[in-house]
Amino acid sequence: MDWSSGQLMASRADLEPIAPEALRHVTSFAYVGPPISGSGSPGWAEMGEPFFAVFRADFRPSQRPTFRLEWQSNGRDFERPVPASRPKRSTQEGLAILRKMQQELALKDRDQLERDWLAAHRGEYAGQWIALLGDQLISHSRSAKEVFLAARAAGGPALVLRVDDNELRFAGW
Amino acid sequence: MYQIDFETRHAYASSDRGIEVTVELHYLDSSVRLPAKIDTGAAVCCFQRAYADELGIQVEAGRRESFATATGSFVAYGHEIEINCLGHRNFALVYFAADIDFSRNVLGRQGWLDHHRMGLIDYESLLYLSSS
Repeated sequence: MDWSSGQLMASRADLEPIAPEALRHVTSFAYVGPPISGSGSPGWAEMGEPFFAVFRADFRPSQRPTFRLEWQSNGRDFERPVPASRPKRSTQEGLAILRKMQQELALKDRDQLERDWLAAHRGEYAGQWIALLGDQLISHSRSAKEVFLAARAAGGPALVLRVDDNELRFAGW
Repeated sequence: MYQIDFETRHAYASSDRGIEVTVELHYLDSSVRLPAKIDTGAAVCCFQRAYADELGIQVEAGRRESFATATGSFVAYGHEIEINCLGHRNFALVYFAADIDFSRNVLGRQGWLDHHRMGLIDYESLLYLSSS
């Protein structure tokens, strides 16, 4: 986790392995701004989604906030308070950033799963068209049309490609 | 000393198949997702015909052009579509090969590189990208 470059601090994926049942009791909020001192409202917003926190990209590592979740009371504390020296972003702006980061993370996860799947199974489908959605093989066939039909039926934006039937290295056109 | 800032950093798979990224091609209400190689030596963006068929594009209705390669030449037809690569979208004239067996998907200069700023650190498999 690169705190100094404003990465997502915690996500549902981070929390689920730890306490999936506890997630039901966590109040969802997004916070964008400098570290908070005290126990007052830090400018968070209800989102109706699992816990996420986003921090500004211009944090110094020394300003790294720590936090804990109190599952039953929906509370959280930020330790080692640092005086706020920069204006907070608006809630709407913060939520927009949060949503964009969520979408980007989801797409990165999907792309990575597809790359890993291809690295492991490419050889098994040489010469065929395949449709992949994450690590799920939706269809494979010598017919591109069949594979595109299956990909459409699956509903998601599947990755469709023809697997090369030779192992020669690519040297441009 | 010069410095360029980029909006996106992407770690690509290091392989002998070139620098490959996932792109979406959009045409009217249709779209396809496919892997394409970034090729600074290619004059244009060129894709397999099957993607045009899936998008509902009449390939031969486009602008016909012949392209040279290291081993010969091929015919392709140009069409205006939208490209989405790593979240960066642009409209461009791209080419679809006439031959159904054409096996390359390439992001080249016209239509893609000329719409973006790109940085590359190949020994770290890192691609940096911004819209122009």
